[in-house]
Amino acid sequence: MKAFDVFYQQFITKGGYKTVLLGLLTTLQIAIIGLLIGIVLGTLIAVVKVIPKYKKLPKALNAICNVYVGFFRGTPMVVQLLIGYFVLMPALGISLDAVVVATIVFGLNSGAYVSEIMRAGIQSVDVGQLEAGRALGLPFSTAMLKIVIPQSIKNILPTLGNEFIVLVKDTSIVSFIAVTDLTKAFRQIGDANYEYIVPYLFLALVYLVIVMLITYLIKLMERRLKRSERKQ
Amino acid sequence: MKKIISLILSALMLLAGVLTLASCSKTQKIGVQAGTTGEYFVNGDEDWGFTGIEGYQANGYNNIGLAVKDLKAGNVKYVVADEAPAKEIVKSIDGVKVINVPLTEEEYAFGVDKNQPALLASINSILANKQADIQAIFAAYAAGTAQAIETKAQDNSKADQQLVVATNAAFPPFEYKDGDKFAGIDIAIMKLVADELGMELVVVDMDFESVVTSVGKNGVDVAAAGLTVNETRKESVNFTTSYYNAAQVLITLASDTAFDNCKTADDVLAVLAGK
Repeated sequence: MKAFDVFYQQFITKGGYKTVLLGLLTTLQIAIIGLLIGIVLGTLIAVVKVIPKYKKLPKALNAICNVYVGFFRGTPMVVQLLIGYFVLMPALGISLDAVVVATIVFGLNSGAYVSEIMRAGIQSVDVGQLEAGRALGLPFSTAMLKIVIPQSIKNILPTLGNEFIVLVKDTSIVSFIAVTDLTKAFRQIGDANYEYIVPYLFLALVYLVIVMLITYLIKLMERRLKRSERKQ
Repeated sequence: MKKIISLILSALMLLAGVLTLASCSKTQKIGVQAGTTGEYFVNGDEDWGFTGIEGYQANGYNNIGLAVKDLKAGNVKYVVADEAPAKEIVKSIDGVKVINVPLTEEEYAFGVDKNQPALLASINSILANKQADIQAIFAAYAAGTAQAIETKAQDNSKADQQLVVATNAAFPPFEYKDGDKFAGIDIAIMKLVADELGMELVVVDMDFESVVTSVGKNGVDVAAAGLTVNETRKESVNFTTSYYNAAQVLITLASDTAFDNCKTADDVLAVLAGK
């Protein structure tokens, strides 16, 4: 078992696990904060898109949302990362940590996808709910925030969980902008001796465990949200 | 109208299919690390002065180790890599060998941010005056007695006290990760430079394609990644004086005897052309 011995030496004896733990933290940080940014942005965009025609919402706002969603869904995330880090930042003359840039790009990207998920969720709630709220004298924003969105979140929770899983796995591309994430950390271990089998299998295992944990968490949340349902 | 469009589309698809088949049958693949001299050497590149290898096409991998793995799996016929890493690889991977004929002549140098001429001058003077230390570094890595190097995390608030070095740590013996620390000849020389200048050494590890681009952006001062001096790269960075004479070499399966009698690069290319 030469391959395993080499891995053990790099991972345990020489302390490679420290890099891996830091990488794991980076991966989770980018994915979790990215998803949070995405949910906030996505909800805002979804609301803009479902606001009824009689409301005097500037058309410009709708157009901006369309361009934003179009760009972030229409280009690969790697390209967005490279543009953000190597083109935009020097052009604007700002200097941010690569992890921060990655988090922002992941948030913006996720926002575009979540906006569509949220829109589907909002539309899945019976329009009578909003109308009832309005009839009771609630302003549109309150009716939306307190009546429609909470119900829609219940509907979209599985899809949102899917988005989170995708985000976690997509973080494996951030090494393009010099971030050492989970994948990069294991790749470094493999590169040190050109022994890739064990590091890559371990890498797959770690991602698998993370995703299984997320799946379990979402199941717990779904169960909690089910409590409000009428017993049949 | 619909009929015409569908006809055109099917014609295009047919063409694409034929082209794919044609390119498969004609060219054989040589594994390289994407963005490196090897890739330009195989495919040919005007800026580099390479005419390419007739009948072969480069298959770019993320690092050279993966290319050699694919050579063993039979997906590429040969691998072209830098000499020193190639020799390092055949030590770790069984069943492959290096054809000991330099195919190119090239020089490694560090790429310095164009806005920091003072840093370029200091590195050049250290490279000139610290020859003994640099020789010792090369000797230590050749003997396998070198130690991993302590580096700091990047901190933008003290940018002027940190020497930020961009690299691709998948290139033993020039740069690689030894456990949780960086190691390698380039890193050791950069440590020497940082110590001389009284600065902290920061190493940022990224994909090789990003290394040259990153210099001068987001605090990166120097690229140290076994960089071959080249006109295209000179547009992005100022090169220091060179510290190593490198060459591309061919890696083949150990069972391959076609190159046994090759003495010069032309001999190797002749065997390649004869297939």
